[in-house]
Amino acid sequence: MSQRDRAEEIGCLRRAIAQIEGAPGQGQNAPKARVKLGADEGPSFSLDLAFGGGLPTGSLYEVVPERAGDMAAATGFALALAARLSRARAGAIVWIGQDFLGSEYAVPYGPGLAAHGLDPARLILVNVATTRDLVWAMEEALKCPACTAVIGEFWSSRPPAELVASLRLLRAARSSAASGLLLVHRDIDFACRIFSRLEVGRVLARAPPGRRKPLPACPVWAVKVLKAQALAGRSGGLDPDIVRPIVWNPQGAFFSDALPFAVARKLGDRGGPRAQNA
Amino acid sequence: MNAAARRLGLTPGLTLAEARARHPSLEALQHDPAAATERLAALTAWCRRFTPLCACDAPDGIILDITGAAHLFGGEERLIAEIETRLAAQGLTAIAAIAGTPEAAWALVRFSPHKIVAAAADAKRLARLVDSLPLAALRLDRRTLAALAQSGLRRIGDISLRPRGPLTARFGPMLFGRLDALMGRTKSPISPLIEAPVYLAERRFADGIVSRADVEATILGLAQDLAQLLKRHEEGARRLAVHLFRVDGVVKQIDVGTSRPLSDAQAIARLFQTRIDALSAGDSIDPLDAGYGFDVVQLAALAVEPLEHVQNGLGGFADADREIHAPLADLADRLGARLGVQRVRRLVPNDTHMPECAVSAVPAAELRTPTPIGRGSVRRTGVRGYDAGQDNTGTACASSAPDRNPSPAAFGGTLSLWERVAQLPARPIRLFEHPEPIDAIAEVPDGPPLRFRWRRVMHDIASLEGPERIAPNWWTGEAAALSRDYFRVEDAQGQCFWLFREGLYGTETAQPRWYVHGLFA
Repeated sequence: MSQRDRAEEIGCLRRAIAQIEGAPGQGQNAPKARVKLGADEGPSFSLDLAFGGGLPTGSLYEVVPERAGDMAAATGFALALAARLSRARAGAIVWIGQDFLGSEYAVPYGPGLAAHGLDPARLILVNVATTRDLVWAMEEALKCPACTAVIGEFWSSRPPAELVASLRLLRAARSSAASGLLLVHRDIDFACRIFSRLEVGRVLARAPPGRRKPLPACPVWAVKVLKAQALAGRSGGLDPDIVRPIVWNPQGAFFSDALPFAVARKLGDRGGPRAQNA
Repeated sequence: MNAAARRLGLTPGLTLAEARARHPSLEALQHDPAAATERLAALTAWCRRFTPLCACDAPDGIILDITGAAHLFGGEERLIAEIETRLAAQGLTAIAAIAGTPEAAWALVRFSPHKIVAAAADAKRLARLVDSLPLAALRLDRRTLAALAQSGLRRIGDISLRPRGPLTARFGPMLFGRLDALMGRTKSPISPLIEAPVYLAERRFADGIVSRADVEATILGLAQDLAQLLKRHEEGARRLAVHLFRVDGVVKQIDVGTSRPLSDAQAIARLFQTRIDALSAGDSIDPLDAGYGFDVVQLAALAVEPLEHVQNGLGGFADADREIHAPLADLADRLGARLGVQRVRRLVPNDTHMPECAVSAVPAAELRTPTPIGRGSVRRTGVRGYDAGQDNTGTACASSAPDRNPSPAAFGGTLSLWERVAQLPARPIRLFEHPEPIDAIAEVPDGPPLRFRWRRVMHDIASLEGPERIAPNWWTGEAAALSRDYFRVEDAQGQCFWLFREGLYGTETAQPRWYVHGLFA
């Protein structure tokens, strides 16, 4: 086989892969439904703007903590996303976790979820022993039309990022309207370009002067959109360095920008709220 | 001692050395009772190919209840012949006999040349046959037999016509009890190894089937047969099992459970496919281990429930059911089939204030009525129809909660448990199953912490809320349990923890210990 034949063959295969990746699921040529993350009325929300008018459903999102200690914040963000997604459409939320992560990093707690704005009665908890089972269970759940969000807790981003497995997941998500959220503990920067990736950290409240300790403030998450593959054609305009401080309103089940009332130290270093005009 | 040894003239009771002296090439094996019992149980399972009701009759027998099954094999003689040849093919020497009662069959197999006595045989013929048998055919213990022999009673005929009173007084009631059972005057049940399934579908093959595709196609065909049976009786299966009978006598059983009564053949077949997938995930070799092939495949519905009828067109409930509950139940079944039913769970609130007991994860398949999943938020949903008595997954304290506390409706008025839970002070989104001990430093022993060390990392506390005091369930008599003071703290890096101090300083303990119990978003 000559060099040119091989190049042609590779090109052909690439096109086929692009077709598979880019092709929407069976009979779904309509543009993806989007879910507005911000309040239904009121000022527009920065993440909505970044995703072009709402988070596309039927897609996969990796949620990674900024630092190891931010895992709880990332969990909270993923659960808030799931609660928001399931508000738009009736259905169940499936949480799939590995056994050892449950004992190491605690398990989802019903009363806390209820206070977080996620109805525990909608939650299905699945325990799996291996990553292979995890990916399989996630694929099955994504295929189910009665699920609105499927959260899979991964120890590291490598197994789900394996190309075949992740393509299968993506196809499953596209075939139904469910969104997959991959909560990844240890992010290995493995170049997998089919998931969107959101990084979640905490914005620290500046301690007021005085000896007395203040009450813990309402949590403010610093969210970076590292990759937004769901944004076909618009991803060029997305700056992965923009930090968007956001808060979650559990009662109303919507996100809003934290900037109007929280002064973030992180943003102070970066010289201003650029997030608004993204 | 097998037949070959007997032909050589060896007898039981001979010492091994003497036997070896006569025939140096003799092979001797250690008697292994455990293995023998196991083998007998396996053989009993194999015998289920003839009838569902099989009982192990240790140490060396198997009793089959072939009521209504013999004609499937072309009559009793042919059934006996088939059993004996099939066992001979497995290298076993077996004798089979058919009689109206298990006791009579037991006696015929061991002591009589006549192997078949029809159940409808008149009492005279049976009595004539039985009278010539030795008394050992009554399964009496050795001492009673010896005592009977000393009195000159050796055959059943010796006692059957004698007055019963004196014999019973001397040898106990067992003697005539056994005789009556043998003659069919009293009924004695057999205790089958596995209870008979409610419905059973079966396929037989002249040649064993080997490939997985064939097995799955057979299961689908059987599922269609079973679905017809179920639909006719308006029932759905909750537990199903496939039995694969291998040619060489090994029986494989594959179980699946469902979360709702199932009568759809495709769904049943899919569940088994998932289960077989899971079996093959464990070891890469052939999951079914077909060997020489399976010649009988049975599909049994082990537990059934009446089908819930969905009424169409009245309001939105039926639609919601079709769109959400049915696919969700399918999903739970599929996940449960591969991962295990205990691994797919739903959260059910408990009416208790102990944080770790406030919620229990119940297998989705065990929730009697699924918790409604519909449009709406926390405000509208509640838990219905969960039978708290079924909860076998909870911890000791969880199991004490349901019976002692009033039902949610009676207690909280219109508020559901989840709604009341949501009104509690802050609760973490992730809770450790076992609180993790930490080293905490506080200014005063009963004050809030300043900093703490958890998993070898020091956390300085920047802000805190608390304490929220939670006392143990003193009314259940857990004297050892201590009160807890919970704090919600945020460290300098923004991590938020739920800590508690165990024990009230001074009154309950002199050295309160600290734990981290949960993480906030």
